[in-house]
Amino acid sequence: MHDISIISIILTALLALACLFLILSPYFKWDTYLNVGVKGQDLVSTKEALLITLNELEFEYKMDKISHADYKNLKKQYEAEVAGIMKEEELTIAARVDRDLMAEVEKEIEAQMKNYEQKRGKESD
Amino acid sequence: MFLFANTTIYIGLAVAIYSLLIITLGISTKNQRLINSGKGGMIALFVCAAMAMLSLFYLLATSQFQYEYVTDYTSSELPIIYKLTALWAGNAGSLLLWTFFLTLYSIMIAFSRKMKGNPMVPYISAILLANAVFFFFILGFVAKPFVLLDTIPIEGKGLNPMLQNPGMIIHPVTLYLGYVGLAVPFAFAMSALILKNVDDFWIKMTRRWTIIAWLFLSLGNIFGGQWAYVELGWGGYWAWDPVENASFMPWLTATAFLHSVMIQERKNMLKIWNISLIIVSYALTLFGTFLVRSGVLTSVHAFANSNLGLYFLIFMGVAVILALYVLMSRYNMLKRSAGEFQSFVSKESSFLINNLLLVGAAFAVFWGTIFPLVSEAVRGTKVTVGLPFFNKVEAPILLSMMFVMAVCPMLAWQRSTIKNLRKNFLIPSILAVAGMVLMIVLGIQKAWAVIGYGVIILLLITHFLEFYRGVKARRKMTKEAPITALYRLMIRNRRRYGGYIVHLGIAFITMGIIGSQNYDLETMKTVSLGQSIELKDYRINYDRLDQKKEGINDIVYADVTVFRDGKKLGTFQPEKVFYGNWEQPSSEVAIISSVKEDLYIVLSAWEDDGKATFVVKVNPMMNWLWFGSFMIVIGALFAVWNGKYGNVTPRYTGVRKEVS
Repeated sequence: MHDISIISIILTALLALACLFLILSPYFKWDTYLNVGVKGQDLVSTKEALLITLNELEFEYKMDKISHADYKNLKKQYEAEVAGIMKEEELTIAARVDRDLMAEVEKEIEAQMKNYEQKRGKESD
Repeated sequence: MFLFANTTIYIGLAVAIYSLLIITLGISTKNQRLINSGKGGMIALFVCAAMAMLSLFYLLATSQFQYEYVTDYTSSELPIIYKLTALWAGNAGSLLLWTFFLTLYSIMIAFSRKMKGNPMVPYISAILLANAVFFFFILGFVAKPFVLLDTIPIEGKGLNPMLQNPGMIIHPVTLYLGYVGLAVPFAFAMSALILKNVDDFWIKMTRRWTIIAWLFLSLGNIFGGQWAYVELGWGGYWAWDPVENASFMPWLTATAFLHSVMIQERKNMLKIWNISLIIVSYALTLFGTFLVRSGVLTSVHAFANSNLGLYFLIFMGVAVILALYVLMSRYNMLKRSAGEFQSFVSKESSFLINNLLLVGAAFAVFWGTIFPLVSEAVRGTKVTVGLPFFNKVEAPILLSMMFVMAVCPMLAWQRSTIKNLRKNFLIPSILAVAGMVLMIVLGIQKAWAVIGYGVIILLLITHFLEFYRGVKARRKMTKEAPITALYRLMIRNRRRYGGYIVHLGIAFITMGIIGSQNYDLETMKTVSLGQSIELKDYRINYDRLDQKKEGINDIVYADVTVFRDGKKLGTFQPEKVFYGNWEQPSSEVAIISSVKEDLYIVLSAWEDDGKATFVVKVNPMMNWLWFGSFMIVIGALFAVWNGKYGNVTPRYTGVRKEVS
């Protein structure tokens, strides 16, 4: 006969409950994964990868692992890519600055409008 | 315990099916909560597998002979360590171990910090879960680990004495870690394809996983070889047995994969090839299991014949068909985005040649392994494909591979100019040829040995130059001291220099193989007490024959004194062990090891008048083989060690993120 002991039953029940908990608990939780931003990090890592590639290229050239012509061509190509990314970064920063500026201007306009409305209110009183 | 142990398997199966379905549903409805529930299920799966393992460990350790598995593989007098390791002595237990590793790897990926928020995770999880469903199904219905016997035997059948060896404790574990490990890059590759990501993100993310899986596969093969050498008493370490081949084939294709991914990372080439390679490697792990567990081939590895292999064959078939379907449906996309070769003499083309050789070697092993099956199906007779076939076919392929390995580091990317070739190869080639001439002058005249060692000299020189020039170039840029420059050079490019260490390890192994295969000596002699056997510069004096009892085992042993060039090396005891609970006796070999060679003494037979028959072998350069194996481990660990450098976060420019 199978040795179905009390301990065995308790352990089985605990296992089943643990599995149920693990499966069901996500239904009662707000998700935290969806807000991870990837874009900014992406730009940085591409730039980093390109800089490392440039470094590696120079190293390999010094070790005679790449011909002079290839070295020059590739170097130029990667440098152009880095320059492109840097430009894009600058634009992003500029856009952020613009956004900040716009927000400030908007705030000011709102404040002035409020002022104006208040004045008008007083006048109409 | 019966209820709990069995429940772990069946709850596991239910959870695996649920998680697979719910994640698939989550993907199609883009519902993050469903995905998270599936991920929770993956933890639950791991808990189930871990509990099942613990239950079986407990039953084995406490000798609960009412369980079939415990009776079949243990006995009460067995040392506790072997009672526990009997877990992977049979079908059910070893598949449970496999399942445990699979669930462990799955949660490591699903909850990895690096993969957080990545849309590939649900797909990878689903693929790994499909594997888990299969394994839990097998454990639940085909190879059940917790079956009760009708009558409880007083004693178990015991563990095959051949498996009672330290090498056998770790050999299966490392092999399974390798097998399961290959499922990870496979799952990543498939997910990337399904998501139409044809960049190299999946390769970068699985780089470490692949090297670790490869390392474990290597270790599995090495430990297996060492065990065969020490335990089987035939003086060899590799017999091209179907089961050895089963683990060697994925090793070959995984080695090819490890190299060709570098070309994809660097040059955006070989995309279809890489995906095909990982599909093949993954399929070969399942195919190997089919070979081992089906009993279709005769092998020294004693897994009970069962229909288990068939399930693996079916699962492999389905996996390969689905994988090929995904690959074909993305074929144009992969082709469109791939780079092209610019020259035949370049680093990238040498990588391709190395790949073709490795895959060719794998195919030759595959063909030799299944040929008996094919011939039986076609002609009705089972032909045995033995050692000579494999040695004849594999030796030239693997030697060519060594040549490519020697040449590759010095070749230039894009295209090698004449100037580059002259500068990098003139001196190494002259030295290698000079070495070959010197070998012939010194009396090494076997063609394979001369060519083989010549290639290895070339390899050692090119690799030395690689380190030397690296340090020189670095010092030019940084003005560091040589040692500092070497250290920084290596830790800043772990994968490359770890790879070179592995290459050197392979060179040592090859030297050991060439030496031990071409220059081994063997004699078999029957001698009376006091007489001696002479072989090469060894003299073995036969002093005594006696018998002793160890537990339930009877041991017959001979005392022999070994002299080398007249100098005493010591007294040794080759033994023959007769087991109380096992029919076949086994040989305990006396091995006298040195850097140059091993003296290998086997007590083969004896007569009542004290005469004994010994098999004595001299196996040259065996320690080179083991040292090379050690270097492989060091190199692979160096390559995957978590360093500050070379860990640029891979860029990810894939699909729009919806669920992760």
